[in-house]
Amino acid sequence: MPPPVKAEEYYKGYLVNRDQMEGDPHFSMGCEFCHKGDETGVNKDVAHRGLVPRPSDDLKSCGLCHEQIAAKYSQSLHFTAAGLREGISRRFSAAELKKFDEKVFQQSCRSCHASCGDCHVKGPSVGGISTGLIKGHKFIRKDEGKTCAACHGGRIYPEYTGEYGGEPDIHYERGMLCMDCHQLPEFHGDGAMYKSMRMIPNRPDCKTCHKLGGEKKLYTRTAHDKHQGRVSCYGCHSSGSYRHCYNCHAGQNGTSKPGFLLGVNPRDPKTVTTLRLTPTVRDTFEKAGIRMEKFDTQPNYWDAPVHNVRKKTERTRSCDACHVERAGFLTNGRLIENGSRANERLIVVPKPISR
Amino acid sequence: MKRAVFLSPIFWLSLIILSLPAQAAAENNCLVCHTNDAVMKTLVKPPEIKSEGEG
Repeated sequence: MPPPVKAEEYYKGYLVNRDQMEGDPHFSMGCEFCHKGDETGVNKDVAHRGLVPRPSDDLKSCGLCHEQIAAKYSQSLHFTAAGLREGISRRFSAAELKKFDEKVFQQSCRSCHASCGDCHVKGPSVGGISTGLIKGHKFIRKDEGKTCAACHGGRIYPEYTGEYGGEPDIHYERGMLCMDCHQLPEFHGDGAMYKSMRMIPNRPDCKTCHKLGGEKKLYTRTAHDKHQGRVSCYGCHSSGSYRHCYNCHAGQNGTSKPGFLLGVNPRDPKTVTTLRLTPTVRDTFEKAGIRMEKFDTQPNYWDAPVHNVRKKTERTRSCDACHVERAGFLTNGRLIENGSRANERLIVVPKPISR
Repeated sequence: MKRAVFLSPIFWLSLIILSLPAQAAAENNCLVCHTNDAVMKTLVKPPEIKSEGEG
């Protein structure tokens, strides 16, 4: 997560560094050009009249100079938030989806879109709280710890850094951050409008760097051969517990707790992988009058690329962790109460090894 | 005499120099506050924490 901001220092997030403005063409037209308001105003109320706090919510602001990037970004999942809609829409009938689009998506899900400024100027606001200007209003290329970490600070980033407990991801320990694996088109878009992040080409793949067949130890090579196409890399290399979210009622009363779950990948049933419980429950959209008629067609657990990877884990040290103890595997007893009937399809019992 | 004063380069230079700070202030008062630690401390109130961010 981004470094915590003390309440008494919150104002510092609004301090502009005058030195950094010199020579930067972004400031050549004055504050008003982007932020509107009245820069001749003699007090806050007058100066902030008509103020636009997040000018880049309107992509035309940045698109004036960065035309191609803004055009592509308008189609990007970080801007459209379409991935959230795609994920939930499979639980709805056609009529319910229409209602969801009208009553929920724009007001709730879509409000989480990232503007250009959220990544390049000021840390994004999460729950109404922002870490403030990243570097005194300097336009920066990237600072993942203050930007990505804010929106993805509930699960991914704290798991990656080890702040959620457990060991940090080995890649983090080696100094890697988000953009060392995730490519620019995943953020700015490539001009195509995808419905889900899973449709984006060239997403990170462990095997890009870690080629199979080059393993030094026979034990490792054998393990990779045996499990290739049957268990995801995370299945063995996720170091342990990660966050699961429960009971989200249209943004209220959500809870979370750590856990580790292995089961059938709902998107690729021939593989076993790490599963994460998603917070949608039967009455999540009750207030909006949506019952989710197809709730039971989709599981509550989904394949999770858990960002807490280690070379050695309980499962890489011993085959028995899975094949004898069956540690971490989803079972009937571990399923959430009143969950989707589709959850049962994710249960797998590893076969014993014949020795 | 009046004519001599208006023609003097010193008069015009003084007029430009004297008008500069006033003009700068008139152009952008945003920076007067947003670069002043003490002023911003009085103006910005930390928001109430309403919900936990997830993602």
